[in-house]
Amino acid sequence: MAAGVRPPPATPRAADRRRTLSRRGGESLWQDAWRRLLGNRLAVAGGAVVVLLLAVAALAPLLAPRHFAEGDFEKTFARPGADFVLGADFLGRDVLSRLIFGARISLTVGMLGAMTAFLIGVAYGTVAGYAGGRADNAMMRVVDLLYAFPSLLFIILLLVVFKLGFGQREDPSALVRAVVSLDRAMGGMLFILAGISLTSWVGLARLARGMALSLRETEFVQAARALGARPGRVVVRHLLPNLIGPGIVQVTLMIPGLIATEAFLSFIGLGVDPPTPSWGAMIAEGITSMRSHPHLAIFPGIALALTMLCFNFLGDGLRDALDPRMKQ
Amino acid sequence: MTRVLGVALALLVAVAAGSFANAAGESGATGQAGISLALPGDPGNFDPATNWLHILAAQQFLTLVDWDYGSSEPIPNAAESWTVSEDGRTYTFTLRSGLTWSDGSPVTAADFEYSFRTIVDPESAAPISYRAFVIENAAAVNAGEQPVSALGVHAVDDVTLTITLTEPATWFLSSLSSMGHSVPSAAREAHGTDWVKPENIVVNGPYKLVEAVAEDRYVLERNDSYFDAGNVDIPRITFFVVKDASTQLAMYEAGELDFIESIPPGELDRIRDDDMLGPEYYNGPRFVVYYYFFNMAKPPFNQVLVRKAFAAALDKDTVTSRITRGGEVPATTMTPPGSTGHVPNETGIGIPYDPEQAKAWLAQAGYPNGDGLPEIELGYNASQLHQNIAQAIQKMWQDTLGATVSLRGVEGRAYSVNAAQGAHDVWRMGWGMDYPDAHNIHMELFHSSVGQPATFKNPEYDRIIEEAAVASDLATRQQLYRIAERILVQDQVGVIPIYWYADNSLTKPHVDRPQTPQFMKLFKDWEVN
Amino acid sequence: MPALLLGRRACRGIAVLTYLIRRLLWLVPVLGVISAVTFFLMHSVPGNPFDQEDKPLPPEVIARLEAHYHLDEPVWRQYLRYMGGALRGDLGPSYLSKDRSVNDIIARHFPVSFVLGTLSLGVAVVIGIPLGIVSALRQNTVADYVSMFMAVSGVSVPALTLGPLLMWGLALQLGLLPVARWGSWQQAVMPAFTLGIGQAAILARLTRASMLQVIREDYVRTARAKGVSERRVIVHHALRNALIPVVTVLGPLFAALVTGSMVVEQIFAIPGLGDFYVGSVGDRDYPVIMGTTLLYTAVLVIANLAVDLAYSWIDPRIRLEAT
Repeated sequence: MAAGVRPPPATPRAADRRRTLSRRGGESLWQDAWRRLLGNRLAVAGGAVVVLLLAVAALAPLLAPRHFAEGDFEKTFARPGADFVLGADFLGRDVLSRLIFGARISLTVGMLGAMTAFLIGVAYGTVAGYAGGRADNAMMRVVDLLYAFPSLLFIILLLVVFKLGFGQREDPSALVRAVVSLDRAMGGMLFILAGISLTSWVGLARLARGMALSLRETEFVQAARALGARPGRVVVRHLLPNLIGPGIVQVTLMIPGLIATEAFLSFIGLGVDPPTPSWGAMIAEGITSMRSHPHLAIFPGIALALTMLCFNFLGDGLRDALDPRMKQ
Repeated sequence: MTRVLGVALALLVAVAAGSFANAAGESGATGQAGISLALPGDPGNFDPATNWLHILAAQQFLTLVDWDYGSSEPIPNAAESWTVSEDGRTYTFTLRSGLTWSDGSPVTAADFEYSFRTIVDPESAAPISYRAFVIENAAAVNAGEQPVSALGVHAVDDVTLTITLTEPATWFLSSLSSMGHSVPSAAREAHGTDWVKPENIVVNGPYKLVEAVAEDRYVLERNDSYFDAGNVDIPRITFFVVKDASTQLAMYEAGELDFIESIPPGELDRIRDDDMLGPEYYNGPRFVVYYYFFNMAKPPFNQVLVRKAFAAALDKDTVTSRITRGGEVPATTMTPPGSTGHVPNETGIGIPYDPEQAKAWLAQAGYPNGDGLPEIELGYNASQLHQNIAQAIQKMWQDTLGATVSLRGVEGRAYSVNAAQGAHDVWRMGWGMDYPDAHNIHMELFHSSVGQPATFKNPEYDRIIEEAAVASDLATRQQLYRIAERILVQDQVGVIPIYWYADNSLTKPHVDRPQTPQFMKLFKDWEVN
Repeated sequence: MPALLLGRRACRGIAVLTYLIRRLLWLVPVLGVISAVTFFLMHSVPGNPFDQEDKPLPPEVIARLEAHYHLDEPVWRQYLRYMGGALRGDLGPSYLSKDRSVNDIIARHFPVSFVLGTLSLGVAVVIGIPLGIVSALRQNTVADYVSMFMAVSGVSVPALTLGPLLMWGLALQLGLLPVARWGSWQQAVMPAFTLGIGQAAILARLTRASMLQVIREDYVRTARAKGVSERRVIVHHALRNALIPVVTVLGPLFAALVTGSMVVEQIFAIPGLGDFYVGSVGDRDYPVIMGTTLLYTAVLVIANLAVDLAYSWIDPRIRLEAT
C-alpha cells in the first residue's frame, strides 16, 4: 500500500476475516490453504520444480559430472554432445556441472536474501506497529527514507563499499578480516547477500507494521494484554503467526527478483568471485559470444528463467491459497 | 477510470514519441559519403593540451613531427625540418610556411609554445603533464616553483621553435607524435573549456569537428584549410558512442558501422570462418603489452625462485590460442616488436614455459609441490577478458605448482594504485605505448622513482635505463635495453610479460585502410571507393 | 472556520494543496540524509577520479589534481562545499568530462531515460493489464494458465538475455529494426520492450488478483442479478474498481523503469543517465554519483506522490494523510 493512503473502510466481510485470522495457526486454516494450493496446478508444478532444484543444489557434488572449476584447454567452446552434455565454456569447463553448482549460489542468494529481508522487515515493522506513537513515527520515517533511496543504486554503492572498503589488506581489525575471509570462502556471496538484504526489507517492514497496527486493536490481542501478557509474548504468540501467511507469499515473490538482481550485479562486474559459478555470471560470460557459442548463455538463461517462473507460480498460488477471500 | 488511465498513458507516450522529432536531423549522416565508426566511450573533453591524446584530437591538430612506422623514423608534419644541437639537448624546428588555422589565422611557433606551456601549467591540472618533464624546467613549472615562461620551449620567431631538454633524449622526437599538438591560443583563451565544442573549435589538422552530441555521436568533416587537404579522401567521419563490444559487432554486421576494432574473443572463430566476414577481418600487431606484476614486499614473492617458478608455470601460448584467440603474440620480454629497444626472441631472454623447471624452482624455494605456500591473491581490473585470462592462469598455477590462487576483480579507478601499494600478491597490468621506444616502458613503469613500494626495484637496472635514455647511438641503446630486460623479466622477474596485443578489426570492403601498426589511427590516410 | 464559508470543492482543494506542500517539504530531509549517506559512503572507498586503470600517475601530479578539486580537504568540508553548491542549483563539475557540468549531464541524458521509461511503462500496461483481466475472468482454465505463463515468462527472462536475443532475431536475422542507438521510434522498440516486459508481468498478476477479488463483491453480483449484460458488468463495475490498486503501483513501477535502465542502455547504446551512474561509481566521479542519486530519489518520491494524488482522486473514500 502506498504511503499516506488510508485503506477503504472495512466491509462487513472484514469481520469474518478477523475471526479466521484469530485462530492463530488453527488446523483448519492451514489445511484449507494446503488443499487450495494443491488444487492450483501451476503452483503445484512450480513447487515441485523448486523442490527439485533445491535437491539438485544440495546434492551438487554428487550429481555434477565434473567439478565446476575443472577445465581442459583442448576442449574450449566444445558443443553439447556426448562428452559435455551441455557443452563446455571458454576454459573447457563443463557447462552442466557449472549450472548444477551455480544453482547453489543463485538459490542461496534468492532464498537466504529474501529470508533475511523478511526477518529484518518483520522484526522492525512489528516493533514499530506494536509500540505505536512516537517510536512508530520515528521508525517509519527511517523506512520512508530508505524507500526513497533508489534501491539499485544503493546496492551498487553498498557492494563497492563492501568489496573495496573491506577488501583492503592493510585493515588491522580482526572482525573485518574475518568478514572478508568468510566472504571469500563463500565465493564472494556474503557481500551480495548483505547488499540485497539491506535494500529489500523495507516493503516487508511496512506490511508487518500495518498488520501489527490493526491486530493491536483486535479483541484477542486486547484480551491477552488485559490478562497481563508481556509485549514480547503477545508479539510472538499472537502477531507473528498471523504474519507468516502474507510473509511467505511476499518472500516467495521476492526470490525471483533477487535472483535477477544477482545476475545484474554479475553483468556490471560486482558478482561472485570466479571461478565460483552463478547463473548470472555464466550469462554475463556467455552473452559476449552468444552468436558463435549460443550454448554458453542459453542454458543458464533457461535455468534462470525456469527458476524464476516456478517461484512466481508458487508465490501466486500461495497467495491465492492463504487469502480466505479467494475461497470459491 | 480506465479512460483516464488510457488518456494519461497515451499522452505520456505521445510526449515520448515527440521527443524523437528533435533527434531526427541526423538521418542524413550515414547517407552522405563518409564512414561510420564506433567509440568505446564518450571522449569527454579532448583538449590535447590537458588530456591524454584522444582519437578525435589526433585528427584535428598538427604535431611538430609524425612517426613513420615502416622506417621507424620521424617525418615532417607541421615542422618542415629540425636540427639538434651538439649536446643533444636543444631541438630547433622550422615550421612549414603558409600553415593556417580553420579561422584563417596563421599557425605560428607561438601556438606550439602555448601548447607546451599549457601542458605543464599547474592551473590546467593536466594528467599528462609528467610526460613533458624531460623539457627544461617543466617539473619546476608544474610544481608552481617557476613561472610558465621559464619552460624550455621558445618561439624564436613565427616559424622557429626551440625546445631545450634536461638531458639528451633520442626518444624525444618519437614522443612528439603523441604530445605537444598545436593549440589555437586565441580560441582557447576566448572560450575556456568550451573551445572544443563544434561552434567554437578552430583546427589545423585534416579534420574538423562539426557535430558533437555527448554520449551519442561526434562528426568530423574534412578541413579544407589543412595544408594537404587535397590528399584527404574521406569527407566525413561519424563516430557513434557504443560501449558494448557485442553491440558494435551487431551494428557492423547490420551495416550501421563501417569499421570496428573491439571484437569479443568468443566471436573471432565465427568471423574467421564466415564467408562474408572472413575477408573483412584484419589481424596485425599492436604496441600494447599485457603483463603481471609481483608484490615483492612479502612472502612468497619476495623470493626470486618463487617468482621464477610462477613465470615458468604460465603457459602464454595457451592464453593467446585459447583465451584471447585474436592472434596475440606471446611476450617473452616487455617491449613490443617494432619499437626501438625490442629484444628479439632469438636472444633467449625471458623465462619460457617449462612446468618441470617451475616445479623444481618452487621446491628449491622451500615449497615442494606447493606445500606451505600461502594463498596467492591475483588481482585484475574487472572486465570479462581480464577475468577469463585470470581464471586460466589460476588453473595453470594450481595444476602445475599446487598453489591456491584466489581471484579478485576490482572495478574502476581504485585498481592500479591499490594494486601497486600491495593490495594483491600478483596483479594484471597493461601498457599501451605512447611512442615506439623502450624508454616509454622502462622509465615510466619500472624505474625506482616511479614504482610503488611493493614493486620491482633494482639500482643496476635504474642505472642502465638512465644510461639508455641519454645514449645517442642506436646499437648501444639496443644493447642496454637487452640487459635491462634480462634483469627485469629473467634475473629478478619483477613482472611476467604475457602477450603483445593484436589489432583485431573488421573493415567493410569499400573502405581502404593502411595496414601498418599505428598508435593512433589517422583517417587522412584512409580511402573509400 | 473559513472552511465553512467555502464550498466543499474548495475545501478539498486546500486539503490537497496542504498535503502536496507537506509531502514536497518531506523531500528536503530525504535528500539531505540520502546525499550525506551517499557522499560519505563513496568517499570511504579507495581510489580517486584521476587514476588511470593502466597508467598510475606520479603522486605529485595526483596531489596537485586533488588540490585543484578540493579533494584534499576533510570529507565533511567537501560535503558542505558540495551541498552549498547544490542548494544554489549547481551540482558541480564532472571530474572526467571537464567541459561538462553535472547539471548539463542531467539535462541532456535524463530526458532519454525518462522517455525510455515512459515507453516501457506503456508496453507494460498494454501487455500486462489485458493479460491480467483475461486470466481473472477465466480463472483456473487454460486461458488463465496461458496468460499467466506468458506474463510471468516476461519477468523471468532477464534483460541481459532478452536484449541480445531480440537484437539478433529482429535486427540481424529479420532486418526489421535498427540494431542499436537512440533517435527514432524504430530504435526505441526493442529497448522499450526489453525493459517493459518484466513490469508487464507484475501488472498482470496484480490485475488478476484485484479482478478476482472485485468480481466476488456484492455490487458486482447485484449488477449481474439485475440482468446487466456481462460485458457491461465487467467494464463498468468490475474493471473500474479492480484497477484502483493497479494504479497505485504505477508510480513505483515508473520510477523503477526510469532508474533501472542501465543494462538496456548499455546493450542498445542509448545515451541515458543509467549508464552514467554505473560508470561514475567505477570512475569515482563524485559529483556525477551525487547528482544522479539525488535526481533518482526525487523521481521516486514524486512518482509516489503523483500516484497517491491520483488514487485519492479516483477513489474519494480515500483521504490524504501527510507522511
